[in-house]
Amino acid sequence: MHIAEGFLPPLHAAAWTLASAPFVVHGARAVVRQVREHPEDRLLLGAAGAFTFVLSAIKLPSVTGSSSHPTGTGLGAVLFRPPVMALLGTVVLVFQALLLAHGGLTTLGANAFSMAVVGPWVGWWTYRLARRLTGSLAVAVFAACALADLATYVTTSLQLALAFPDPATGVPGALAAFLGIFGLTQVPLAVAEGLVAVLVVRALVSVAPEDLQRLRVLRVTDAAVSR
Amino acid sequence: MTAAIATAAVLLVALSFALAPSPPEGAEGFTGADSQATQYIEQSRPDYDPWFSLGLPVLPSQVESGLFALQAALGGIALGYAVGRLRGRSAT
Repeated sequence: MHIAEGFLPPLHAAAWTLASAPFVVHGARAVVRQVREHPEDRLLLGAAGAFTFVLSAIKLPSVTGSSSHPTGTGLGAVLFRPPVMALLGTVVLVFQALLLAHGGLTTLGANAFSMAVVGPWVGWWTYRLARRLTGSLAVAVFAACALADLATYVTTSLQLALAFPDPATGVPGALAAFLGIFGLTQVPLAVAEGLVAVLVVRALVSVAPEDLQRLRVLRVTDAAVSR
Repeated sequence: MTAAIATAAVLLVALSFALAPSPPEGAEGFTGADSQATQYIEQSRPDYDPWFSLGLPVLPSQVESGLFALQAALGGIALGYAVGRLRGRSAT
């Protein structure tokens, strides 16, 4: 998820920065617009950002014998749609790159693309699909956050594979190797993230049902969620 | 229901931890996947050098863990504050 400082060759680093920049700019405008048009949403927006802050800092052990971080971006994507997360996720990444030496500034573009763009969008689409298929808010939030997490790491694996193709097997071989490092390890973490996100949404439903209804997250038919 | 979900999450992490293979002799267990990726790159491309560094001091791992914990704590405080304010607002 967080490619370390200097571990993407300059060309790749620049390319990913260019790729993610428009999303981050659009995201910044979306945040400003959201706050300006709906100042009452500031608390929920802060909660979404805080959730990302918390989850991306926690290192959890995994069944493969290694450890990794969840991403925490799915919740904000479900509440406010993906563009907002492009900015919030990037803020978290900048914080971590500067203060924790986790990730980097040269790799900020790539990390933002995986964690602040791809993750939230996959989460959002999953949320919409799961909502339509199951009608359940809890299931949709769970699926959205778990898959947002996994999608982030798959993207990171792809970014690394493109930058460091295997001399023998090329990009596919490198992709398999990086997925081997990140993929299986991340699965229990993604499931845990989904479960925690459901807990947070339940708490939000019980304290701010009108806000969530206004955001079109909570529906009148969702009465059972907070029980 | 809340208790069930919370229990499931805790059990998942605990089981994940318990079922993990033991680290080889002398090696530290549960190394980060991020650093494993870095090591993989360094091994498969010995000639690759990270070309940029912020020049920040390399922190001992305990301090690094402490800073991560601080980040999580700050996020937790913000999240708790938001939920509390929302609750207070809807109570009036």
